[in-house]
Amino acid sequence: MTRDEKERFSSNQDPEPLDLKKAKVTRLQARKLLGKVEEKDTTPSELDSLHYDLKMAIITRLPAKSLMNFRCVSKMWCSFVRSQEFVDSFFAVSATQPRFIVCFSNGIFRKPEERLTFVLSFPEGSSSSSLVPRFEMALPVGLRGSQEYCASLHGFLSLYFDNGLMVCNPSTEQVFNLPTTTQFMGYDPIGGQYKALSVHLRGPSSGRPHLLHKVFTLGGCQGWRDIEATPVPYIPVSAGVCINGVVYYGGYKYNSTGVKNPAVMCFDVRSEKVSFIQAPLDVVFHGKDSIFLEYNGKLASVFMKLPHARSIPFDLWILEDAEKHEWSKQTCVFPSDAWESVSCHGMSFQGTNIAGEIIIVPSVVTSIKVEPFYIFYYKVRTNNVRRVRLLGIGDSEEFQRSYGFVDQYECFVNVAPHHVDSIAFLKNHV
Amino acid sequence: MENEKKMITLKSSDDVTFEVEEAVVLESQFLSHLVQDCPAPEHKIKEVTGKILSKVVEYCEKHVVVVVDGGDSSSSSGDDLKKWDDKFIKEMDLSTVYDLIAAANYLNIQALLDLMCQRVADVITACKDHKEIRETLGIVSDYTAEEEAEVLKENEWAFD
Repeated sequence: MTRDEKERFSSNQDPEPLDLKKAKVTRLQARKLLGKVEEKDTTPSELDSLHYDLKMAIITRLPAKSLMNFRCVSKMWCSFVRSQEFVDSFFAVSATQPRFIVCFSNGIFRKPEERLTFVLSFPEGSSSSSLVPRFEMALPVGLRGSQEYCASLHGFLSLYFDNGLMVCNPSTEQVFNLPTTTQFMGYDPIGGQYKALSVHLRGPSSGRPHLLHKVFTLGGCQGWRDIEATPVPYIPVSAGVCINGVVYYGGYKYNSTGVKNPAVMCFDVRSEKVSFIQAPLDVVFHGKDSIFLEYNGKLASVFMKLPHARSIPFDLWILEDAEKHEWSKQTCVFPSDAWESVSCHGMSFQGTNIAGEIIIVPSVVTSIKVEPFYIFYYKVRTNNVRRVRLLGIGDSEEFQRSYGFVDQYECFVNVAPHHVDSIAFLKNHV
Repeated sequence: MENEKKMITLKSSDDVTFEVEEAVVLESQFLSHLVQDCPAPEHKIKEVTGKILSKVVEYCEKHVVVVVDGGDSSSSSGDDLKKWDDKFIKEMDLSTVYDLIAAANYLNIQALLDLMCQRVADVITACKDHKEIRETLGIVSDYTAEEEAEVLKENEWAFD
């Protein structure tokens, strides 16, 4: 290592905290009594000669991107980085610092091969009113829409793009490209498995629908499997949201006389069974534009007379008791002054943050006008809104140029709260 | 003042001796127990060489915290200490850092262990790719060219 290199490196390690009111640091001289420190010409020590625990203590301090490089250094280090023990400990440390993911896709109307989606993140716990997000990765696809869900499932992001559903890990940049027919993605926290669900009609629809359910376990080697999720006929209409091992999606369930009733389907990711919860019509009224989100650990749905229009009251339906099929409703008013200096007229609901505030973002970012980009946090109890400005997005021409937001097109935005950095790799058998 | 302080002599594996105040020794959990359990004036530390022990002593002397009851103790703020740590590690080659990691672990000096592990982590983080890591840390790859290509493309995208 050259001197330049040595100077370039600096430690992030803070010294031991000292209470200076009570203590002072005293400099004491050691007295060498005998002999002198010999600079023996011994073989220099190597990293590889350190004890396993000490090697672990070093790599635990590396960020995910460096670990990806380190994996390629040698087989031994690769096996350390890949070991389940290390993957789990990395996740446990990251889980104390959850991040907020923001995805932008440029030019809605551009040619498919020209479309790109940028994944950025910032610390979720930040209380600052403006911040600069960290760039994570770019994907060579465009997001399908603003109302579809981007979700973070135990380190992996699932997002809907033009041709289907994509699952990716921004830390390792591993990407799974799932077929167009895939509708839902879920994570089973007990078995630690990621599963994709595809639901489609078996043959022509006449009267009561017969559905075919297919499941794909990511990292498994079985490929798509047919499952007997439920013998009860129903039709799914909305996108899904995964809460604690269950994927919820809106639809209509048929009774024995062929009458259809609004319902929420619950796909249990672990058991691969589908159950139903009776739901108010509002919850599925807008079909694929229906909005589902997690609210304080419960399933909730947002209903607006005009989907996604900003500055109109909306109803928040909360599933209070899944067994009793009980829902509560409260009307929320989003203060219109929060929209000051935001020209986008659509808003999209993207879940809740740790504090239980509903996350709302403008549904598109326009490249026609250079203006700040905000994320809104709406507190239901008080009708209060705070907004956080993401710097370097939408507010500078340089951003537009460097991210290819040109030709006056609009771009979609998806966000996913509670993202935890993970270095887990899943075997890719897609 | 000086006379009141209890002095301890530490002897390295290669018989280099250091006379230090007891407070310095207490920075190490291992030595604290040793001194308490065995009140001999001299302690041999077979696992640590004189070269490394001198660094350990230097670090512990700087970091020793003394409750002040008057006297001529000089004080050093947290910032100064951090600056001192930065200088301390920058003057060291990686081989010494590894030895200090092993010594800090053996002697159970958590702050020194943290500082040294972070130093190695920072060196790795500053490398732009796996080749630079190998070069900087002197790690010899045991991958064949084919295997290395395989690992590198493992997370390449499987787009149609």
